[in-house]
Amino acid sequence: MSAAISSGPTTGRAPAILMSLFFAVIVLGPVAWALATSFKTEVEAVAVPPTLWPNKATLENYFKVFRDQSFARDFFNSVIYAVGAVVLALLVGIPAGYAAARFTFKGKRALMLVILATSMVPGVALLVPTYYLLDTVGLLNSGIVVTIILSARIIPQTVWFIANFVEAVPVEIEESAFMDGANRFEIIWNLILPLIRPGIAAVATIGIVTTWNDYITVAVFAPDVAKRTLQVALVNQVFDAVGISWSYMMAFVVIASMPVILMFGLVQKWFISGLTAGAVKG
Amino acid sequence: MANVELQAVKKAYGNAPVIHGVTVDIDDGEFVTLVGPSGCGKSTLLRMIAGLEDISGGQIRIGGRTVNGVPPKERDIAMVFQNYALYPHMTVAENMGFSLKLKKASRDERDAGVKRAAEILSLTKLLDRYPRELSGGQRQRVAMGRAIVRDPQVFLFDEPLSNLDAKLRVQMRTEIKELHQRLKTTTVYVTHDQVEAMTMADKIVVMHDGLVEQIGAPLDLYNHPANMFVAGFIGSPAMNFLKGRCENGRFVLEDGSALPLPASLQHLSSSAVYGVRPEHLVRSDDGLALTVAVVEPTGAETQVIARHGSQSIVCIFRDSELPQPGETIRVRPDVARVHVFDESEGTRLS
Amino acid sequence: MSASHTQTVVAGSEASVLADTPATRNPAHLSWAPFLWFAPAILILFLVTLYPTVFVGWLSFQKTRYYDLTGFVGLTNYVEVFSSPAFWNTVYVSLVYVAGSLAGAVVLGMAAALVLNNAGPTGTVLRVLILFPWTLSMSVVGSIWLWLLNPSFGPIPYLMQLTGIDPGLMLGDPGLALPLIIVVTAWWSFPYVMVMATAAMQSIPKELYEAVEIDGGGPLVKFRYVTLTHILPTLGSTALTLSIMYLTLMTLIIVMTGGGPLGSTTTLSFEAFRGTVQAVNIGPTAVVSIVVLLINVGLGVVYTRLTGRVTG
Repeated sequence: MSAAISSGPTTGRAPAILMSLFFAVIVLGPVAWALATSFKTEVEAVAVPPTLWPNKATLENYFKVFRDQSFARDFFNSVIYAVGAVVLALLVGIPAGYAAARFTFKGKRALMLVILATSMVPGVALLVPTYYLLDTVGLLNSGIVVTIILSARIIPQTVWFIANFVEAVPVEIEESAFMDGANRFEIIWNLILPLIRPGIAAVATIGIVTTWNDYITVAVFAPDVAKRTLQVALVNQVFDAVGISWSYMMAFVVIASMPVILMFGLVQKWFISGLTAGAVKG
Repeated sequence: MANVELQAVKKAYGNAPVIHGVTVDIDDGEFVTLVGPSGCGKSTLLRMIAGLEDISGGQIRIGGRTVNGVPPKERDIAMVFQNYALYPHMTVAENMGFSLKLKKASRDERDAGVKRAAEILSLTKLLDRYPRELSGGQRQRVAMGRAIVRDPQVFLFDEPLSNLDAKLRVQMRTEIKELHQRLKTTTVYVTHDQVEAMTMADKIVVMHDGLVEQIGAPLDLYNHPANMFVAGFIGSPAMNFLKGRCENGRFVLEDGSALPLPASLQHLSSSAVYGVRPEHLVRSDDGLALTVAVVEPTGAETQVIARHGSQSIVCIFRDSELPQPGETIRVRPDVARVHVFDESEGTRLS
Repeated sequence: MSASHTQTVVAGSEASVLADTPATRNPAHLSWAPFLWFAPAILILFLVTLYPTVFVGWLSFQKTRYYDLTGFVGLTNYVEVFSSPAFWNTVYVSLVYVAGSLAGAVVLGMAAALVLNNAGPTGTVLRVLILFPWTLSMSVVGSIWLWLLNPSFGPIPYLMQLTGIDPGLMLGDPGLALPLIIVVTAWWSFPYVMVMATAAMQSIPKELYEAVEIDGGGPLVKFRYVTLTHILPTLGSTALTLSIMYLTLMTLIIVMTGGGPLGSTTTLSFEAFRGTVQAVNIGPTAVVSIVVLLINVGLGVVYTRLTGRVTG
């Protein structure tokens, strides 16, 4: 770790630490406030002056969320879409990424350019045509279709990541196995997949976070209440301004973020390495 | 075990030929090194023997069987790669046993094969380690172990020592040679290091630009190089080359000073290149005058880089009396070990 | 790496038997076998992305009532959109939104990266914590800030009142809504800039700083000639990534303002969303979508050029 500004390892450390804490407060303050509010009673949540810490902490808001009839269904939908999209992206992304890293053939560059181009097309520009097409063929409100659309959003990055990770495995390892008598499938199964496991974990983590957090795709293409996710349910509460209960909503916010928080806590190293992969030119 | 025959073997990538027709016979049990500068095609040739590269022309036969188009695993060969290509997520034992596992050999067979190879290479204590926990020399031995386990007809080595430090390289060189003397398996060994080639091989194949320049025993190449390329490549420091003319039984340099010619070449009269190795120059009062530029003593011998006109000449002296930079010394070639090369073709004239 | 090794690498990818194992046995397979590996991925991308991309172009030339097409109208939709002041206002809002958020995120992100990089182990721990909001969804971020900024009960307006500032309507104020959304966007995304800048900083060889020290340079020289020059390319590509993200970001706006008040936070992307769900006349919405598409692809091409990432 390089000292960019300080001239020595110890001088100037204290002001830097103070300013770091300042940034931490800016960033985590709002999150902490939301967390505190989720433990307040409905009345205390809207008290003036606002209380920093709940006078009387209660889990009532959380119970209310769990008791809600649609919660289990929304949660289940969120899990199915996110896991389904990531599994599908890996299923199609691993062969493509492997081929991109290891094969040379006419048309490969064109294929990679197509994948690159699709990554540049923003989902928002495709809302109208996709809605029209799905409407025409009667596939609105299909969980499978939503999963495939979410998956398509992460396929390009999955292909690149896998390709980069496979490239980092010396080709001699494959040649060696080939001479040892392994066929292509055995090579990928016994050597490549175990060796690129950290890479797969990184793409999967980022993919889960991306798809879990999606609101637009589900809200537009699966407007049916039975097909909605936690994110859609949350936004619907905001729209339902009359009956809004802030403490309830903050409890919902915490629960809706919980899987992502857990994932971040468990694999933040992979998450960060995934974010910064290819960001720095050596 | 088997012999290997290469017959007019060619390799081209698209329209770009990289190997122009190589013919080499490797006898059963022989240790052959393919040596040459970077890009000469030696590694490609080895990979063609291995089956990792297509053969664009000619024939490769292993043990009398033509193997063009035969996949590697059916060629009964094993290869040690430059970067060892160990499987990072497998232990030493798993690495060595992987080929047997793929062959669906029984657990006992596998263990026996691994145990035998590990004993040969004294790896027995390391069998449960992972490659990342091994030193460079140990990894090298595991790579060889993996080859030995398969008990192949031919061993192929692709610059196996180039990732090791100098001291370890010398040690592993000896180990590989001992291993060959013990197993007597036909071995093809690629290196760019002529010292490695000289010390290990029964037979050296010198390659350059996709062609074989010369094939022979190490000392053959040293004493009777077929051309300037081999003369300059084999031997360290490299042979000195001087331009001039053969005239009246002597070799006359551009500035008029003369060097002696061997009796067999005294009849020549043409432009030529005079080649003499640094170790075949001795100090002599009636020799060629040189100005000493740099003196590099290494203890046993002293390397002197000197100038004659614009020409740089390297000499190796074994006497303890060191010349000083700037000093003028006189040297005379050992006329029996002098070579004269055709100026345009580079072939040796004798 | 020796040249002969380079050659074998080329060989490995060009004509190695391993690369074309099926080909050596059956030359006819050579041309299409590798494509099979790509086929599933390409099929999905074609259905979900490529075909609708082409289709939106076709849609933009159609006259529509709700989601019924009523005939080809040529450039009418384009004329309608480009001659509408509301559209140009949307473009203006998008520009201000992207530029403002970018400025905030880059300045804060750089500052945080520098400060945390000098804070020793404390910095390492805080860096992970600070990145955390980046993982939250836009709906969650929007909900939290909607609450924080609530003019009646929210803590921020309360603090403003304490310091004697009249918070007014906050997100309900047409002059304040966009700046507030920009603040929230910068808050959410500056940790990303921080992580990228930190990664770039930590890849700078320590010897460069030592060389500056030996040459007699102070902290400013170190920052200007070593740190900044080294992280500038990373910063550039990060800024482009964020621009693309901001340009297509809708959920935050949907949650916090719904494009209002008085269209003051209606960006191009929000307009494309609104048009899709309201579905009164989707021809003009298709035109807006195409505008977003073209800007995005343009930025994407610049990004690709900048980072040199084309075919892997």
